[in-house]
Amino acid sequence: MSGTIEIDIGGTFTDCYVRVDGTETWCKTRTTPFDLSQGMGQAIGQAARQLELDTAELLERTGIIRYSTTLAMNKLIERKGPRLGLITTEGFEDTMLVGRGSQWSDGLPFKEQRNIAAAVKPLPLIPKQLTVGVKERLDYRGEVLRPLDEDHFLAQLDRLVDQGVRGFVVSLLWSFLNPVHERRIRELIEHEYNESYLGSMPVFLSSEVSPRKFEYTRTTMTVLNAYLHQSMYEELIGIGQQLRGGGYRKPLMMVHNTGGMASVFRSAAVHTYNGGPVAGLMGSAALGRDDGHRNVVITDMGGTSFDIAMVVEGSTRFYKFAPTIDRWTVDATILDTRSIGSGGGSIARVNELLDNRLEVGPESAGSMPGPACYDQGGREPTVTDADLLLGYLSPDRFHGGQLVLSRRRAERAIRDRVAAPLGIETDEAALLIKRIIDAKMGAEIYKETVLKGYDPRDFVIYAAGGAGPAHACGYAEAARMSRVIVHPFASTFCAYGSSTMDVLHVYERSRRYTLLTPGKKAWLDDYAGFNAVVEELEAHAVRDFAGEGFDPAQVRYELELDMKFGGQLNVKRVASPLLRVGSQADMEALYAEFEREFSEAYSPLGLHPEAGVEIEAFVLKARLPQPAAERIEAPYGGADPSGARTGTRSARFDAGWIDTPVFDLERLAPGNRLAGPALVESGDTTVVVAPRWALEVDARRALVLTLASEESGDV
Amino acid sequence: MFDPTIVDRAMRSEPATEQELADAAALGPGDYEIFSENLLLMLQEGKEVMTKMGISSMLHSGDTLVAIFTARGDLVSAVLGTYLHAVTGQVPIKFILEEFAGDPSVGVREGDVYYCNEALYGGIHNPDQFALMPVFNDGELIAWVVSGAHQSETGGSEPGGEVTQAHTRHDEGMKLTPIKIGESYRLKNDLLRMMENFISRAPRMQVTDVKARVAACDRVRVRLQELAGRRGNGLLRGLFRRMIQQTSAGVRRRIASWPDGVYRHVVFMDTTGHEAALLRASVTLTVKGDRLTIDFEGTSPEHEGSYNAFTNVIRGHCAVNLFQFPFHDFPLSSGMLEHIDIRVPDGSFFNADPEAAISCSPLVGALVFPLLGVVLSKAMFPTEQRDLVCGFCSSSASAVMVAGTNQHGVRVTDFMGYPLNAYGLGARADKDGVDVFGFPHGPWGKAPDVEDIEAEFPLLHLYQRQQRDTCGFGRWRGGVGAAVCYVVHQVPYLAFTSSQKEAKFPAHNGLYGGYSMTVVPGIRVLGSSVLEQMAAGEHDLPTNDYELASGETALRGEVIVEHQTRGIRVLKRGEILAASTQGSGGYGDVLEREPEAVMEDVRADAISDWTAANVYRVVYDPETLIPDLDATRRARDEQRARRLEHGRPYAEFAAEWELRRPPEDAIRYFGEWPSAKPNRDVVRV
Repeated sequence: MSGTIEIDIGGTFTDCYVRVDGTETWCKTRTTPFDLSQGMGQAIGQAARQLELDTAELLERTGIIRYSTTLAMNKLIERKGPRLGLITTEGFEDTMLVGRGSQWSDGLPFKEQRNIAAAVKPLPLIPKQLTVGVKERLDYRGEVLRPLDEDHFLAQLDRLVDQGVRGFVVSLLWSFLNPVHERRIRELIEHEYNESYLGSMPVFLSSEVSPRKFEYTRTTMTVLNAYLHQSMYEELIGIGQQLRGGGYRKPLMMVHNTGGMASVFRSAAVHTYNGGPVAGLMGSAALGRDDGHRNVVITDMGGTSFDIAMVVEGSTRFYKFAPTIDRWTVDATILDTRSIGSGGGSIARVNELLDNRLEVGPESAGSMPGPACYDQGGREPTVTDADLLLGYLSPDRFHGGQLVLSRRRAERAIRDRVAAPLGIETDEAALLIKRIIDAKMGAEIYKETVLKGYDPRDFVIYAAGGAGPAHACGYAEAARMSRVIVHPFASTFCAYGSSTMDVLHVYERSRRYTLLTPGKKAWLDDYAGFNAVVEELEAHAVRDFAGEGFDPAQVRYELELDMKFGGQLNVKRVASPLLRVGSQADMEALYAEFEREFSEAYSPLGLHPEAGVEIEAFVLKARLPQPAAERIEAPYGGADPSGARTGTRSARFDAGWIDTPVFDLERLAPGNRLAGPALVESGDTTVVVAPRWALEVDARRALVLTLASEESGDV
Repeated sequence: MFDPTIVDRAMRSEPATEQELADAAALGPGDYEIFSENLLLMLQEGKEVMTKMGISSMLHSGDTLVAIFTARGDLVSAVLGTYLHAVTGQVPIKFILEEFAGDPSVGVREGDVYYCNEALYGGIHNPDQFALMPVFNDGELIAWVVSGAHQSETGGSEPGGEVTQAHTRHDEGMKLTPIKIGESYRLKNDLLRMMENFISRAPRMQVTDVKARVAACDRVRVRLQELAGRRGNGLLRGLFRRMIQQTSAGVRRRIASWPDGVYRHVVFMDTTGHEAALLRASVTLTVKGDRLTIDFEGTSPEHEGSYNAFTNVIRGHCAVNLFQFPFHDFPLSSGMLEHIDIRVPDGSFFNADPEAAISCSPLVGALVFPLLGVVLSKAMFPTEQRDLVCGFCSSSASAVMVAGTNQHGVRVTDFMGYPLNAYGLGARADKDGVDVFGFPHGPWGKAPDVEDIEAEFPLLHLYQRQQRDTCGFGRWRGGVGAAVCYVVHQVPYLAFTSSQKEAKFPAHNGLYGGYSMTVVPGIRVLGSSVLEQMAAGEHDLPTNDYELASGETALRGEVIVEHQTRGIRVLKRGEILAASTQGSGGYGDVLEREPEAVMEDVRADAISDWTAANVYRVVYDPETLIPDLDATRRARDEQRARRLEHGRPYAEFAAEWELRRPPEDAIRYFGEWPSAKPNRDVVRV
């Protein structure tokens, strides 16, 4: 019963990674958007066949199934959620519509933000006529200034129900400090409209979904959760039935963007957003631990986007600043994965107004019509077209041969739309496209690394995604990095990642404490108050783990604190060295860690303890470690890779066209070594080993690429 | 002594040197594309450092700049929250190079940190503070980095930095010409202490934000040195030159693609900052070949009030329109303005004497928004840029400032980011404007949450919301503005000021027959017992400006409706101050708006029933909001017939119009009528 099944359901493919009885396998099947359980069933079936088992046998040997998806988000983008009513404090009914004013720019790329004349706010999830204000008010200490007017509320409630509302979001000012009015409103709704009357009309309280300061983001969190709840619930029922029909009775866990996971029925919809990339990040951390890589940049280059995330000193503890889901800014602790518009489908364009400046992306040809070489009607030259012309891609082996690429179409697109306007040869234009896209990705890696206070040269790149291995040497050099690793399961990396994850719940609570008063006069001495917040969060964790059938005694806790110098608006999240406090020395230790992390991220020039130091929020991570999977290794195959050699292809590099050896990835064995330039192909990806780079296959059959000299790249 | 010619000289790009041209020619394939993006990332990193470290609300509202300049002080690239600052960095750098570089008592050396906030030296007004760092590599000065942000306190005679009752510069607090506040990459604590002393209403904010600016500069400085270290100083020289050249060439080509023409517009300002009065701002936009000329001749003379500006302020506001609309898709550099002449008449309130009070100059400069919004829209209408036609934002600059001791015992002074960041955006040629869009000077800034403000300031909000009927109506309507209402809470008293205009006369206009937006007054309630009434469960308290101003709710207290330009108002616990922003202008004839769209506006509470029936002439069922299309068509036909009754031949209209004249009292600061030429002396002591 030691087997594990990992599923990552994406828009096009459902990825599956299975580990059972000391063997592993992985596969991709088409996603079935009308019923996700079908695609999932097919993936598990295919994995079982690869392991020479039938599906029932595989499920019988499986102890846990973990799954991530972003498909619930499509319901959001298509605005196909239920009709909800929003109940808020009177006078503040427009909070979601105002959206801090510049909501129209949230979630847009920089260039689109600059086009003011095109500004449009997102279509609200709850229209104004379904929003009601209630007469009540709390202040910044959570004290009731105006009691809830229940009669007035009941009249408003009838108005909502008359308009066909099928669920309620309650978000009142300062409710995270004192939820008394939110809870009373729920009682009144349940009393007035119990299940037998109208069927289930769920009530979502902001103080429970997101007990954090700032009413806009607390409300967006609660609205998104309510909006996605029903479709996610229906989806999970289908998957649960499919698995139970196959005889599976063990837990079905869902990956969270916090880096943890929980039973599907204890997962808030908002926490499942971006679960796949986060699983990839967690997988990188686990692989890094195994292989001695404490600093890793995980990169995933697909058709339209380039995603990156970082493991630093073995930790994944970086969160997004003001994350957006669709066009909504939320206050969720989402692990920091970045996405820019650079992928195989990125379009190259000559900007005549800027003196023929060549720009690549962020516009993408997508999968339909796709790059010109797909021959599906696309005319724009793309990165994949360039890769094909440069000889990196084989026209017959793309997507395992499922799609034959048209070199003629690619050539015409690049010749007519890039080479001719620039007055250069077509192959030079293709090389320029590659250099620009690689530089863009490399610069993004570089910026992200240094902004967190680290030197990119101390990092290794894990390259994943269909297009990543073809460009990894290029973007690594652009980021001034010299080591890239391509794992055998690189094309299903996110699914692999969830196999390494612990059961982890994250609890947050906004509570303000002045750690150091302005003028450095006094340290916080309310130790009991501080400890009580942590204890309350721990008690919550104990209840949740017990409810999921785990032993709470095995749970480990980590505390993080959102801290800032007095008056600052932004907080820095800091790993607290202590779970409980009891002395001034403890307070000084908290400050010392804050000072260290603040200096590292920004600048020691910015330290200003004279302004006072404040704690704004507590974040408790409760972790139930999962047993580490054993390392699966292949037998040593010697240094000579010639057994995997399949031929030679002419490929274009900076120095010109070179007859380049081609190898089959499946046949490379641990110990094999080769020097760039070389091409390594598999069914779903091509690894380009650039000149000056060397490749060695490690014991896990991962390809380790190393830049021969430490000479820096372009950026 | 201040040499006023420095501003004009500094704004012109330095001619390319042979070395720069050679370095630009030597750039390899892709170098320009790759490294220009790289500079942008460096700047974004710098801005993120500054924003995360800083305190001032305006820093978070986006009134910021992080920019790279050539060694000779021309803008190469910038990341900014307002395009005002596309013109602010060059002057102080060139001043330092002219005055101090060769002066052994000052000098420009590696590790230096300069600082300034004097608007005469290129800034917009003295709340804008800038840190400047020279960047050296191998002993050569290769670049300058500047970071700046608005800070809401200057130590003036009123709190908040924008001193509405100032008569001269001497009322406006700290004004630093470029001074060196750091050497060898270390800040001098004596000078920080001096600034704390100037800004004693908010010393914590001053020091923290100085450090935030310097840290941002330093981060970009390090990145530039790393790049120069790897690729040599020549790469930077060549790259910088190419970036300036290419922006310049792109702007020139776009202007050349527009038909030649002359476009004129006027708007009016309804206050001098001290008293209600009518002043005019005029513009003539000339498109000729590949050049634009923007001429503000016809603008009223300067005056003794606080609402004056300098040329650079006007230039900065032109940059906002130009970079947000016709040229929004070009990289920022000094090349942008090479083909645009901006003429500001001497002695006008757009180009006042150096002794004038100018801390409120963004209100004055913001008159440029509707002026250029209209003439640029007309110039672009027949071009490929028609999708950029937009009347832009209203610009009354609803800046409420709060000063006092907060509930935590800390002295605080700051702008309230709401409703400042909550103007509506004007209607476009093909769609409505945007409700509560943002701050026109920096449209990406954020209005704060109620819980954000109430945690730091002794205020309780009674409401914070969109404000019905504040938009301009039209075939496409402008976006509505917003209103906020504060109650003093937890402290015995608190001081407010607000520097605004357009409480009596809107400076903004609709496009092509669209309506202007409404004006918005200031409201206060003295002797209010709202806190006690809330505690007692009073049902009937105001929930918007209309209810507050009308006095028709159960709220007790004396309601005062006043101009939103307010000097210091000290309010006691429980007393109320409300402020609001306008929406923006509409586009096209109201009678052409689809009746269904009008009903949707009513449903969304963007307009009132009265407006739907009397402005849009839609006939509908008030319960179901279903329009009666036949009856609406008849009502609109009748309205058109009434319009025709008012119609007269143009010459007849013009003859009568020319005879009209506002009351003398209204035009006492206007200048000569109707030319607006100066007609009296302005005495400042």
